[in-house]
Amino acid sequence: MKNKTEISNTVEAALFSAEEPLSTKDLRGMFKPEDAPATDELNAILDQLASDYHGRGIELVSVANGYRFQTQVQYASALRRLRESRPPRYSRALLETLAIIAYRQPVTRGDVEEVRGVAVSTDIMRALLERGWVRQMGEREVPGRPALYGTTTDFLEYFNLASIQQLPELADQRELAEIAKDLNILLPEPRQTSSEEAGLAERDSEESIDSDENTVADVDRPIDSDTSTQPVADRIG
Amino acid sequence: MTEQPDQLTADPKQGQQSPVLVAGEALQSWPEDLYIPPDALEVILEAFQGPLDLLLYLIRKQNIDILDIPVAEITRQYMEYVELMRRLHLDLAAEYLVMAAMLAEIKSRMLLPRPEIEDEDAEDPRAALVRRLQEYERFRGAAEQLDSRPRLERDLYIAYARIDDPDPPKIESLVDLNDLVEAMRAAMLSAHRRKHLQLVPETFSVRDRMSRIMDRVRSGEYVDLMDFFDPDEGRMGLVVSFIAVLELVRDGVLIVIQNDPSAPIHVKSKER
Repeated sequence: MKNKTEISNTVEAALFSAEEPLSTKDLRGMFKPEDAPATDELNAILDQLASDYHGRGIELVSVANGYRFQTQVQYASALRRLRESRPPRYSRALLETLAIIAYRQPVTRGDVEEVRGVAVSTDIMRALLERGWVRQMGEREVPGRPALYGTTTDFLEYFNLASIQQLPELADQRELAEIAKDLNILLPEPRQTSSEEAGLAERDSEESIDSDENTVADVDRPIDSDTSTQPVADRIG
Repeated sequence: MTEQPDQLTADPKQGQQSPVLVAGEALQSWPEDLYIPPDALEVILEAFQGPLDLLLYLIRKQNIDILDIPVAEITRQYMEYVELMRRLHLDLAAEYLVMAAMLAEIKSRMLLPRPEIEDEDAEDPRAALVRRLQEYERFRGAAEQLDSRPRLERDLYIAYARIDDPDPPKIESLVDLNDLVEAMRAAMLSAHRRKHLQLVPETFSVRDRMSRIMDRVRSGEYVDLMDFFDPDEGRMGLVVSFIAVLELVRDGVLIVIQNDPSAPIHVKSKER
């Protein structure tokens, strides 16, 4: 039997030498069956580990696929100077497309075009697919069977999210309704989900944001809705 | 266009700070209505994400009453640019045109007397447009928020200590001579099958082959023995390769290894 320190050190070593996030399943799997910590034991170890790193240059966080060590945001500019690399920038068109896919998934290109009012360029879709942020999730059962797109765990990891529910809420719809009022427009009630979209869960509404009790796939512990990927230590208070 | 309703920069004299340049000169104000000067068209098409984006900008910036556009005028102005648009971003331009048409339609519908009956279904013609603007603005905001999130490659770096982990054969064991000969035989056999291969007389130098093998394994990696047996070289080439490997092994600069009796045979430089 390994003692708790040994297990904790092993977990730390594993996380530190892994380029990709490790799930609790991964972590438990590296031990011999008789040594493997129980899930809550492992969670306690991870929490302790995270708080050990509290206030240091790196932190232990939980993202889509598991846990990873990453540098603290406030040191990013120094690290960038060290690397002499310019972070990639993404166009508004790409980000808007990505945002629509993320909040509304699954969506077709047509859905994206409907919101943005312009055609979705093939280059943008290709860039999102190649970056691995977006994948085809199926086809909509309408004539032409357009492809349905959704975001991936790589997307969550890149944007430091543990789940899609951690995306900030969409702006309140009333904001623009007020503009309409300024313009003396009588705004009808927002139309309900059209019939062709029935059955496809809308992701943008406030209700779905509330339903964050859902655990995230691959990370078998509940995630707080609005804390983003805070250090685990912060989550346990 | 006598009025300059909205200055783009705080101080119009500092035109170079204006974000929009037209033919080298700063565009001092956004056009009234939706009129777009020909020179500015391309710039505007690039600066905005589409007609909805442009409309939102105008609404926000000028508090423009998008519903009070002089229909005849705006239509005429837009049509002037159809030709121009055809030569520029046709895809984009078409969408701006659709929007212009929609605005015109809205205006004209509002001019018509509303039927007294079936009031329930009669929706304000502007409502659909406002809804779309509203929806677009929400996602435009969402995109901005997404962009400002801490993210990899810009704000966060994955902290990890790399472990050098060269994969290939872990067990080094000496190769049975019979296996080596068997490998040679297999190579010979595959050369033999190419019966009508015309052998161009070519001299193979064992010395030369030895140095080529050493070049190949210089990096310290494991190389499949079969890589040195090129059936296209014919028997002679194979024999020369085989002898070269044996010579190098005898000289102690090359080791030949095999994980288990049926596994591929690899060679590796001994210096590493």
